[in-house]
Amino acid sequence: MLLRKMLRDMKAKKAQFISIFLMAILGVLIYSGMNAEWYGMRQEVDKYYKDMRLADYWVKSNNFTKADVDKVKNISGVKSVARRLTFDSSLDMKDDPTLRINIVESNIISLPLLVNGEGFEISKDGIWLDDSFANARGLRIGDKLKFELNGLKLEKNILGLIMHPEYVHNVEDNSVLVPNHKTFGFAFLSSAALPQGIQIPYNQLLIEKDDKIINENLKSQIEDIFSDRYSIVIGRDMQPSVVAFDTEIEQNKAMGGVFPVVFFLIAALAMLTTMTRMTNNQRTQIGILKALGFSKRKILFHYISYGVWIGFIGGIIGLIVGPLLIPPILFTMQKTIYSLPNWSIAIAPASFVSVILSVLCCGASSFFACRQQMKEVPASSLRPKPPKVGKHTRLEKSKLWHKFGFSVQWNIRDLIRSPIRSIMAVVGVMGCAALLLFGLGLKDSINGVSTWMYGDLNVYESKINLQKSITDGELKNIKNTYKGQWIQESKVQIRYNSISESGALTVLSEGDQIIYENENGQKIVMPKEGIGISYKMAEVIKAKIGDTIEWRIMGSKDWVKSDIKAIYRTPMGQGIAMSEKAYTKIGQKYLETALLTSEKSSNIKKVAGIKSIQDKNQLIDSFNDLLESMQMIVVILIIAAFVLGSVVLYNLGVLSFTERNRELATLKVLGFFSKQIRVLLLQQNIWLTIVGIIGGLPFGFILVRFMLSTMSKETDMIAQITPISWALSIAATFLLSMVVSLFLSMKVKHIDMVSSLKSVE
Amino acid sequence: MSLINFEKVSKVYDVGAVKFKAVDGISFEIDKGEFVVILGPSGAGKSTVLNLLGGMDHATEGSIYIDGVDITKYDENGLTAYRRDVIGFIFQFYNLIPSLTAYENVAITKENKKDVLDPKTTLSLVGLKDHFDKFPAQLSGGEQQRVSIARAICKNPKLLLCDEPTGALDSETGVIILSLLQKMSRESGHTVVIVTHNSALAPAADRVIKMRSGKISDQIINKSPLAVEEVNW
Repeated sequence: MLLRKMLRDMKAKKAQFISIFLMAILGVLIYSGMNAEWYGMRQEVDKYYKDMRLADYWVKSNNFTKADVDKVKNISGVKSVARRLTFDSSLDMKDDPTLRINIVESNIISLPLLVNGEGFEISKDGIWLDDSFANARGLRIGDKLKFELNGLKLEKNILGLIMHPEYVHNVEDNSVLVPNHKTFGFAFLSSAALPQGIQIPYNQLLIEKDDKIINENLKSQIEDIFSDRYSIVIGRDMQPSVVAFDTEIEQNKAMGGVFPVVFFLIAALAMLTTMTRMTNNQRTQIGILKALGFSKRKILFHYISYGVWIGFIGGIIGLIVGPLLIPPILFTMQKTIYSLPNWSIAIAPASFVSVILSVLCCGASSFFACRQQMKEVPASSLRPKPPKVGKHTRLEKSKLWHKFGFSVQWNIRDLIRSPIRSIMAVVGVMGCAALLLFGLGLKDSINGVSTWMYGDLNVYESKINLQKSITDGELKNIKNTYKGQWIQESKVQIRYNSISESGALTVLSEGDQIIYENENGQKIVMPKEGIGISYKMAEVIKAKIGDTIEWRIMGSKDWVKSDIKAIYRTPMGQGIAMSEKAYTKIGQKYLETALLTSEKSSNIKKVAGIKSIQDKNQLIDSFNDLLESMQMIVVILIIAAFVLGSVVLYNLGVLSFTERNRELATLKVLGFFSKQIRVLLLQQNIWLTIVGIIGGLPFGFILVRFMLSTMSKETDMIAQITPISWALSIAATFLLSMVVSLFLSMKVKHIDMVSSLKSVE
Repeated sequence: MSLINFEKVSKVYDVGAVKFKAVDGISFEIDKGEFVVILGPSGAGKSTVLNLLGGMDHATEGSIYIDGVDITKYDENGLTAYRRDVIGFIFQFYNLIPSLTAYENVAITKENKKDVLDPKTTLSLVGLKDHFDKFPAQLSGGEQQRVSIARAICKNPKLLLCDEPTGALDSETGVIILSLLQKMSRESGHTVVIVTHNSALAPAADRVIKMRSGKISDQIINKSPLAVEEVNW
């Protein structure tokens, strides 16, 4: 019987209960949707790594021998070891794509996953090509592929198309955020496919741990074996592709956590106000129930059940719809960046917790709302409630108070009289403004990185990469033909105190093709002595200006000490930079690797010694792909913002309307026109909206900053929000609030004076 | 000439399939400055008469002339302006705005109408000189009703309409309120119409209109009405 009463009560106040219901759905929906996305990605990638036996450690050095393999195998806890030669070869095609070729001796660790064609086998003679690269380039099984290994020209048939667990984030190096499959790919072939008698200079050892024997010092023991020569041991936690994907997952996890907080808060507040109002109205009913002999607990349970049911059903709907709705949208974006064999959703255990949370939020707020009513004895709850006491506010003592018109005075007192309602309106508007700014700001920031990186910092048009084997004559020839800024780019290992990190080294000749900016956005020039370090790198290794750090170029054994003289900011490719002068001063040999020029790539001829010519527009294009796929996220955020804003404001409007029905009817009887009353109501909403917007915008900005800070340590993004986005967020929130208010104020016309003034409610 | 002229006025409510005649073709007149009591048991239609008179409801049939103008011809805005300029209302449950003080509840009329009496003067007139800054919840029922009277007369209305003004008060306070209303009529020349089911008030009125089942059952004109205090309660 009480259940029937609940359903009828809900029907009578459907606008309010539907809005609470929506908030509960949205909170759980977005949370479980985001969870299903990252949890699905986590599970898929873990399975992928496991199935393909992704190596646990990679040792990079030169010329690994069979003896090296045996030495590592003897460490306890090592299950298997394999040698591999990995090198980049520039292909003779348009735009000079780079192919990362892996020559393997055995096929036991880090296996390629076959997409199409023949399976990879050591005994087969041919090459297995990156599926994405093949698609982007229009290469097919059976086509021939020409490449070069240390001057040795080779040609192999493509036998199969593959994916590989080391290439989930399939990019040339970690300065690239979005893969461009046209310019970079990978390939695998067996060592047996090379001509007989060639000494293969294996430069990687792949190591697989034993699941049973756990050796905690495995990494340092491996390091000890190769301590006598240049070497670096990389665990999975440092493998660029693994790290990039893990960071992505963490980021999605963080993002999913932000939303439900806002929605649950709103749901709880809405529940609180609605239930307070309802139990107030039904206090006579409660008294009757008590008089009929229902126990206090039973009545309390009855009212709590309103919240529990709404929270529960809303939560379940969210739990089911979220994973079906959100991941597909996000996956389209993820697919442009990451290559995984399968993209599936998985419901994370935490999603169930969010349903419980939804039930708790709604249930607890109903409890608090009606606990007050329960305290009264039946006799007193059968009597009408004395009117709420108005209060003199401190504001009234000031002289200013009397200058306010009546409507201002009335609205101020009304706000103070129902603080929860006011807070809820402000929170709702805040959420709306914050989400709008968050969505637009996120897009702006990523867009900003593109203009920052390719507009402000890298001012060159094209980059001419030189071959490693370039002769002095060829270099001289290029120097005579093209003008620009010469640079040397190398990979380095950097260490400070106990922290070691790999990064990029850039040595600069005189020129103005590449610009450096300090933390305040001012241009700086690399000093004649010492080094500059990128902001994010300095943060990671916890170094500051004046500190002395150590670094060495990959492949060299000796560490070099340098003082940090400058800190510069760069969105991608963290590391160190120095002038040619400073570089040669410390006894290093300056070897140009690339020329940055303002010449268009179409005007550059690929003469001898040039490895590839990169056009900046290519890089910008791949960035724009990312931006486009982000569009969907922005749309989701905007929809969430609007739903949040309109539901909260409408709900409150109805609430305040019923609460003040009598007062409004009185005004009508006194001869106030509907229009005057509407203005009165609108005024309050305008105040609350303005406060909400002012409070919400900084929150949105913080959200953008927070999201960007969860990006990987390779990227340094600055929250950049254009004035247009600020203006749009403000205008859209304000407009939404006004539309809802106008919609509500239509009701003024229908206030029934006769019935609302007749009796005490 | 009479101030109010009801001509064959009917009010029919549609209650589902049944049509309910709350007021059934009644006619009466009220002169300016009269102290009128409309008497009848509950459901007799007396409140409906008051609502029609106050422009809060539309008549189904007939005409209501106030100062010679037929208010049944007014549209929504016309009625609002009529309520603003002509009518002062007093309810059983006061209907004060809880978030405004006594003074502000009266001064609210200034927002809407220019030629109002000074709120402080009117509040003093009803004997609330010392309670300007109190909120309704801090006042007794009788005091609240006096605020509501002050609010009504502050507008200086032609017509003061009271719906069971003492219904929620004890008899002692009720007498004070009623004698205040009578004083308004005698001394300031307001036309006062009171709806009540308490026939004890009849001897104090200039005119008594008795109603039963939507019709006027009797009309008495008192040549020498008693003062409210003299009536035997």
